Amino acid sequence: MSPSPFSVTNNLIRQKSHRMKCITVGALGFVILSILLAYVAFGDDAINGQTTVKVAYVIFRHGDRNPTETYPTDPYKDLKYWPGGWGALTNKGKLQMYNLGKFLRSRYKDLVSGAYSPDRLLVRSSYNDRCLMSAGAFLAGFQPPSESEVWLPGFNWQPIPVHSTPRSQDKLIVVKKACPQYDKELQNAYHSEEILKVDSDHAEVYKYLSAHTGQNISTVLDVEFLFNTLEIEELRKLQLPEWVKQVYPEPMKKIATISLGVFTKTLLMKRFMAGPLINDIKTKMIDNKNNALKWQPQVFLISAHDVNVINIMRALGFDDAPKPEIGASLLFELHAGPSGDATDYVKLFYMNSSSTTDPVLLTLPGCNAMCSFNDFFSVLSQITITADEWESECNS
Amino acid sequence: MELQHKYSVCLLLVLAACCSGINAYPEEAEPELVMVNVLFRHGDRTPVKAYPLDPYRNVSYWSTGWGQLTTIGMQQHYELGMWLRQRYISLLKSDYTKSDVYIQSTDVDRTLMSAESNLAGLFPPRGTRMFEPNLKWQPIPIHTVPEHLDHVLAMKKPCPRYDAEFTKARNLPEIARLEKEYAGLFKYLSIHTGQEVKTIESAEYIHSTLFIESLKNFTLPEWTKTVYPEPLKTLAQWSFALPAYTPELRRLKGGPLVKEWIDHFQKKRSSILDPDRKMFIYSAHDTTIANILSTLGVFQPHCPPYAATVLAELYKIKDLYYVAIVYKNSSATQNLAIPGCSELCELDKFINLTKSVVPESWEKECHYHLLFSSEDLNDLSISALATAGVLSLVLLGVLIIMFVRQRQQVSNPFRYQTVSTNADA
Repeated sequence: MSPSPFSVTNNLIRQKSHRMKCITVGALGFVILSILLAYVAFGDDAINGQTTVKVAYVIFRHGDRNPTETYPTDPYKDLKYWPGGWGALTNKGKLQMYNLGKFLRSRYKDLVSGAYSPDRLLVRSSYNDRCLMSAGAFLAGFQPPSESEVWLPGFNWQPIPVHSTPRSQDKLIVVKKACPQYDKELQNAYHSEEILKVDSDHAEVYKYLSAHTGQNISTVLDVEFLFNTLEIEELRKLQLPEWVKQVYPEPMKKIATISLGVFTKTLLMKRFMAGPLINDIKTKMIDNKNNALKWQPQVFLISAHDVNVINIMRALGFDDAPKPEIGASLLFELHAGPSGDATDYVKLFYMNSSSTTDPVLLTLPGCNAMCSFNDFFSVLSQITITADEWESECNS
Repeated sequence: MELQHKYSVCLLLVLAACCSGINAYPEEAEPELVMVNVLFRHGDRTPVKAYPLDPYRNVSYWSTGWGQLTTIGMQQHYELGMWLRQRYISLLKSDYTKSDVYIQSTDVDRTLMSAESNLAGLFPPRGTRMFEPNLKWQPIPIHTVPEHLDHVLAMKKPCPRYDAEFTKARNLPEIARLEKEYAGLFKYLSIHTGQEVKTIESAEYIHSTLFIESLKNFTLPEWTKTVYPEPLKTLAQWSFALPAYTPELRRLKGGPLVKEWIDHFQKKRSSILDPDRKMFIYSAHDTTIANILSTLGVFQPHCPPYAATVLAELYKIKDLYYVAIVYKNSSATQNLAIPGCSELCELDKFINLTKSVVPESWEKECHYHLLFSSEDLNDLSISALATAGVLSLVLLGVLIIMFVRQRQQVSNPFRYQTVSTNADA
């Protein structure tokens, strides 16, 4: 907080009579209280000057889900423990996403007020059921019908389109379209010195896990999948077998996080996995800036998986990003500068789970917390790649 | 009492069978519904685009923007969803499960939103399925494919052979005559709309916009009185018949979706449908409805209305399977018999009768040599080779003759000049 209000007020006090002192102290108290309140209310905006969000581009991980797989000795391998089926979004997951939608609605109230408009809200999702459903539940909280949009009396929901692309064609969100160059890099990454060292350092753990799960555990990826299953069972308050305590959560969680990082181990891999999306963010922001005549704030939503969130985080330079929890969200915001400043700024916020209601402001490595649009994307120029470039580099 | 009732039903069935001359319901066995493919058009929408001189061209007349679903459209689909729930109550579990139902939509806002509204009516959550006590809604995945990659539902994936066949169809005498007959109307429309109207399709666009505006009780301009609804409506109906007018067009346009339905039916019959689904839902457009009806040979000239629905149902009677095509183009449904079969068409017969319009490999056929349009690929490749051989021989012969003649011409400069002057004239 700036000290200037104190000194100015103190000077005033010295010149006034004793009787006036009481009143002034009261006023001072009021001023301090107001500043404190304003600080609480406006957070960092109060420090950096008032800024307006022009574009919010949000990438989130789906909500609570059932395991996608189990292991031979799993006491909970029977489907009866998992209504909805393997990998399905649970009711808890739907509610988490609904609440996340509500929370971001309050954060972006100026952007989503009024009626839904396809020009102002674009929702895209991984082709996967739980992501499509997460997007739907999110939107139920994010964009319920405004008064003029109510189409069934008493029904606080309206349809909003969720666009998706089959996995084999997707080079934006899950990036599963065939890419021979990337596959080559990925194989190299698994056989890199660093990962081989992780394997050898944890040879005992792999052996222990193989023995107790009844299946071969020999890579960081095997550990990651097993960790996910155990984590979900624990979240569901199912009692884990005794042997698990030795290795869960640590060192399994650490290995799982390393495993998630393998997909973006090198700069080239970051470019392949995150480049098209970074480019999309840039393009959408440029389009918004260029649309000065008919300017309107816009929201872009991407419903995806943990690995997609961490890929973007690591591509941005947050190599130590934690394993994204349920509903983890990354917010890219384009802000108009404070009055008198014509520059646009990109702010980056992260919430590692849907239960957080306090997005953390991240500083893009190589830039300031208040990073101008131009600086932001010039820092990222090496990993930014158009869909066409992606195609040709993948097959080069 | 019950026996008597059964007896009279039986008698009625026999009578019905006699009247139609076809033994549709063998003996008294009740047809058992085993699965259904549901295809519907989106609900009420705003015009895709106004014409330049449209008094309602300002987007402020259309609160949701161009080509978007309206709240009426949402209601239509919510109601259709409830109707489907009633009709298929015996088929579906009480709640949505992904192993029972699969939903696909074209990648267009209004069809995605129609599917969502429909599912809100078809699968309202009960009890423990509600994730939020005050919300009688649950998320259900709707799958979609970008239009330029979708040859099954959007039917928009590029297909050079289709384009060539379409040009051919356009030049058919009855179509060419139609465009000639309405040339005056096209000119009239071009003048009054401020945009060039030269084809049946562009006339349909105008019809669709005028239709929506009159539905909204907007006063239409004076000039429309002589052309709307007729003859614009007739032309619009033609525009829906055109994309799948010939067998070749049917095979490449509606064929892939019919193929998918038959695949579901066959797998169901052989108990190898995995997951063993009961219902496939497709959310699409008026053109999709028309193309499918045309491909099945049952299209009657009309403009498919909002939420028009085609049901392709599979029934089991004793050990045999039957296909029923049902069209719901208003509140009423009608059973359609594909040419050569009865309303309940035995599956193998259905497959046989639709064989010529079901592509073996859409992708291959689309890029197949455009000169030939035979259905059988093997025969085709043989005849293609043969024809190409003959053609190249002829060409060689012509070249030799020309070469010889040219040499003669060069030796005779006067003759050469004469030819050249003639060509200029």
